[in-house]
Amino acid sequence: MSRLATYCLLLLFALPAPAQVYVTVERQIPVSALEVSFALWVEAPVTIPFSKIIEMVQPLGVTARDLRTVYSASIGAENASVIWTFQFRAPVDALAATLQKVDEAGKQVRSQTEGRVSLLSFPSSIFPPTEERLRVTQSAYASMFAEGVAKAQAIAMRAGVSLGALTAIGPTLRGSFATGVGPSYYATAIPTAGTSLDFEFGGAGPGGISVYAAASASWTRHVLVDLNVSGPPGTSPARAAQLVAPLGVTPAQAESGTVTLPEGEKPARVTYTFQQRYPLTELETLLQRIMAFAKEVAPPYNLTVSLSGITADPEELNARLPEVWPDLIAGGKREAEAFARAAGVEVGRLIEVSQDDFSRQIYPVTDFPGAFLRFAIVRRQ
Amino acid sequence: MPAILASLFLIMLQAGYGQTGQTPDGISVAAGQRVPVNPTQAKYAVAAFAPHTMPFEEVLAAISSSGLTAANLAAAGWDGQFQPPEWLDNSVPSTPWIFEVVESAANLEATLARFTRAAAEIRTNSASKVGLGFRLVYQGPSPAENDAARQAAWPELAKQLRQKAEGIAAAAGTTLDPVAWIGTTVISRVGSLAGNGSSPKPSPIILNQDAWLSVRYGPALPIESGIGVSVVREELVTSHVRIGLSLTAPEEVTLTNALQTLQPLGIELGDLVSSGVPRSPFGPPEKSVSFSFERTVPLREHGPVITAMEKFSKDLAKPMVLSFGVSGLTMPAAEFEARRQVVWAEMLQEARAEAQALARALGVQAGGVLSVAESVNTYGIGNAGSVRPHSLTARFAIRR
Repeated sequence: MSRLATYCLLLLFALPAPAQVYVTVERQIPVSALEVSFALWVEAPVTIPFSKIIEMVQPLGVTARDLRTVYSASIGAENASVIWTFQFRAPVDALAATLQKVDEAGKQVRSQTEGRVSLLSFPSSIFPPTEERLRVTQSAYASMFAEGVAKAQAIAMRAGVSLGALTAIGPTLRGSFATGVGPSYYATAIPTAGTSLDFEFGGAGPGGISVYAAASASWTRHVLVDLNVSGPPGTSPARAAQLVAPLGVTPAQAESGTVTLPEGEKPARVTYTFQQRYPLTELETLLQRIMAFAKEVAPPYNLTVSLSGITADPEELNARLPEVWPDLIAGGKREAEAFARAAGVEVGRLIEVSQDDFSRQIYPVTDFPGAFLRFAIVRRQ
Repeated sequence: MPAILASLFLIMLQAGYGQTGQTPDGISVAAGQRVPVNPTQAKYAVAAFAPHTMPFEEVLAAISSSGLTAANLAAAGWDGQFQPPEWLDNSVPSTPWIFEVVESAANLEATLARFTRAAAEIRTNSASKVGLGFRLVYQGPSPAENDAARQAAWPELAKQLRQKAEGIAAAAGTTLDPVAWIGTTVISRVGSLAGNGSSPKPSPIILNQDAWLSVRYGPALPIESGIGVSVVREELVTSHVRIGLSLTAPEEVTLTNALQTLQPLGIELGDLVSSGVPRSPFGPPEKSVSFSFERTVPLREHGPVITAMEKFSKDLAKPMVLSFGVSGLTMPAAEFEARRQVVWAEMLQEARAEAQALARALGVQAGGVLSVAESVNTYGIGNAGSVRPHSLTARFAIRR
């Protein structure tokens, strides 16, 4: 090998090759506005319709849209009660005043209903409002990016490689935008917004700017109604389903089952739970029908009913996707632009959409299931 | 001419969409469906409490009326799931040998009656030295029924996912690309006894399983391409018995002294699990040290080994005290490795069958293996745990 060729080879090896470097930057950023999230529990006899419950909580500014869940123990006995759970928000300064307002509303409801309905509310968490959280986190992106570059450069230098261009940016999936959550009545405000970003330099993959986008749209609330059918050993799920078939139950709706072995005088029993989903607006009529039906179920079989939550109809969500899509994508793009500005790049075209599953039991914490979006990174010329 | 203008308009429209960033290259969708299964089988755990020096063969002979054999053995040692019968002769320590039995779920009452009868007979025949306890672990489908039910659900789930992806594509103003990636969640073939040790009262009936499917439409990505299937198979490892020993001695006794003392039992440094000085924050300080060891012996040698330990323990010079007992079942690593080679080939076949079912549901075909990854995890479920999973993840090419 000639001397020149050897020099060239040495020079080639001496040049640090770019490599893929990932870094994560976290921040806890002070916020100036905080909200308190209150949980409101309304315990009422099953015979009181939901519309009446809404009338009772209206003085607190709570609406049907604030309903989070509903549950009950077995319904069938007299005086069976249902617990309706709502969530509403108030400025942190109004904490004491809000609790007082709830107390007054509770007293009024108790007197109006002769003690049959009770109201309980407690602060469940304290956090910045969405707009404030977005404002402060987005304002931190530029310094987070600078820190990310510094970290990545240090890593590259230690590894003896050169730092490639920014190829991916996005929130750390394990990271959370939520902030301090305090215990009931003693909720302590942690006046910060937490954010965490991942940066990839010199990546070989598709890369891009990843964001999670959610759309603001509400959907029809459905109640999950559990029909618990018990019978002697040997009762099959099909037989149990047949017993409640007049209520529209099919064997495929069998959610779970248990066997209780004999103990002393108590014989063995099997119990199957069938889960039905009904629109909230039809709940009152439906419960009346189910309870009347339960009385007709003859021994050795038995039927009890319980409510186990609020859910959405996945078909409705699928059907309404085109309607929310523009909002969803526009929201995602705004967030991607905040990342891009911080990193001195521009948002390119949407390259990937990853839609979450419309889970069977979506609690109405978010208005509509969102999607992960990935936009291409366009470098400024 | 109008056709050309219309085409031009369409091109401009598409370009416009591209600029506004609304046309994705890849669309990933995921959904799960609860698939009903028939709980045709009932799994029972049966514990035989026998004097700890009784060889395993004699335990089997003593409980022969129950119909249990060595093939039913699933775990050994105290796992907190069973309590010995109150009438059991407790003048000597006992070891619980735990067996699993799978019966038809339809025979619940007959099976319970059989176990109850066997327990009474064993009590009488063994003069209350051996006791039998049992519980229903769960009722559920057989592994084959489970697989069939899930695979039957793929076409409907695939249809739903396609509709969803088409909805997104339509909303984004584009058309759907071909399938580039099909993935599912881990498929567990066996729900073994030791893996379901903490069965609550009442016992569960498994009526459904979750089938999860994720599909990516778009260009193939380096990892997310093909059909990915993970298979897990849990295996009971019961060829050897783990025996725990603990030597408590005056505080001046060193580890070397302890090993010399226990040499006649074949205890070596490699058997050491822990050593320590028992100290209580309350009361006077202890003047003793303890050394814990674990020996693994073949199942057939368990009786003589325990008998030797008992004799050794009685002859041990005071104030040293030796306590010992069966702490579980296991299989030597080399034996498990050899077993893995056999299981691995079967699991790859299972993975291929699953990939073919998925491919059919999505209107494509499963081609050759793109990658295979295997991993072995060892874990113990409580002290008596004797389950080890074999897991394999395979990726198959998509053929159109």
